[in-house]
Amino acid sequence: MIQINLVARIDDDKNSFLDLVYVAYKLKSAGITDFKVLFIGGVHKQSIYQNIVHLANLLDVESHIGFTMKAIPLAQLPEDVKQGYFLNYTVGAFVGYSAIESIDLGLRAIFLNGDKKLIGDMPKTAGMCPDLNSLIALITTLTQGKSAIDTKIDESNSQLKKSYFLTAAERSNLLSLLLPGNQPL
Amino acid sequence: MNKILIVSNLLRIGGAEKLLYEVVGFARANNLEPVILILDSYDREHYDPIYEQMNVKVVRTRISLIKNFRSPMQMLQSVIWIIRLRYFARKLYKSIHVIGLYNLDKVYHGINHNRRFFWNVNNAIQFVDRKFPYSAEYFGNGNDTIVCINKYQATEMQSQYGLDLLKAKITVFKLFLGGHDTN
Repeated sequence: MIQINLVARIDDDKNSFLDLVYVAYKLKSAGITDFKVLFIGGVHKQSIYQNIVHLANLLDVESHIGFTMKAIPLAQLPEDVKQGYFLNYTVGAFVGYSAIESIDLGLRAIFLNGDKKLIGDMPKTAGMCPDLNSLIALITTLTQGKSAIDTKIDESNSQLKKSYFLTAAERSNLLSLLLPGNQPL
Repeated sequence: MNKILIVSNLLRIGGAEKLLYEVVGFARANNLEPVILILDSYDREHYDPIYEQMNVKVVRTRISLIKNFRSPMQMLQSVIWIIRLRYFARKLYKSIHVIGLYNLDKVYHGINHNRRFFWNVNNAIQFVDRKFPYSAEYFGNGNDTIVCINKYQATEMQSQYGLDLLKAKITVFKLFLGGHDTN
């Protein structure tokens, strides 16, 4: 079983949930049924939640879609959920905090670019999907054998996390934002 | 100690809240005293106990329209903060940091300070027609700085508002970890 977890509150400014319903549909259409998509987060906009459920029903993939219906700290997730792949939307090469938190906890992060204009900006490393077709291809490959890809994804995750630590110059720059006009301490 | 004010609307689990947490940690690690102001939300949320443990002051109040307060104490606190931020912010805080441009409608006219930093935590793709839903008025002060957390935001804002309306400075600063460490 390949489990894809998406950590995001269901709200107006998160407009990509239906992508994963579509992915589920494409996988099922290709004869792949050994997968599950779990949306981890609170429902802040009921109409968006209802649209997700409605489309899943229309496409007959509701059994592959799940919701936690509330925000859950990653560390407190059940172990079987933690064994899944934590999908994070990116804007081109930009990766938000949820991915870093999951990597920090030893969870496995994969990425999907959410901006079609930035497909070319997506890094070419393991687990980075420039578009939905790439994600479908990745999940399909994972269902055929995980271990080799997992190793590459883990290496990619590790490199990504390192990029979040501040250099001395960045520390100085940040301090100048917090304490403008003052010499660095 | 040098105080800075960090303004947001929520302390739940989320990216903006994580950024706030890292900024607070970095400030503390560099001998600054961050004060967190949460607007229009009185619930106890994920980060409240964490800041309590860190001994970081969190104030929850309203600085825009005062109405429908059930508690006289809440109303008094709100009045005090309105006066504090309108007339004394420059004396009290070295800088003001607003996490999320979506909070600007509540603070833009309410906090008088010549070192205001507006952290943009969204990209245009998250909004209808790739347009930020923020009034250009909020970006018309050359003393203010918009802090973008990725390079795309800077381009998106310049493209949408144009240089005629976008007078605030724009800088890019990456999301970061380890703000709580001192080395």
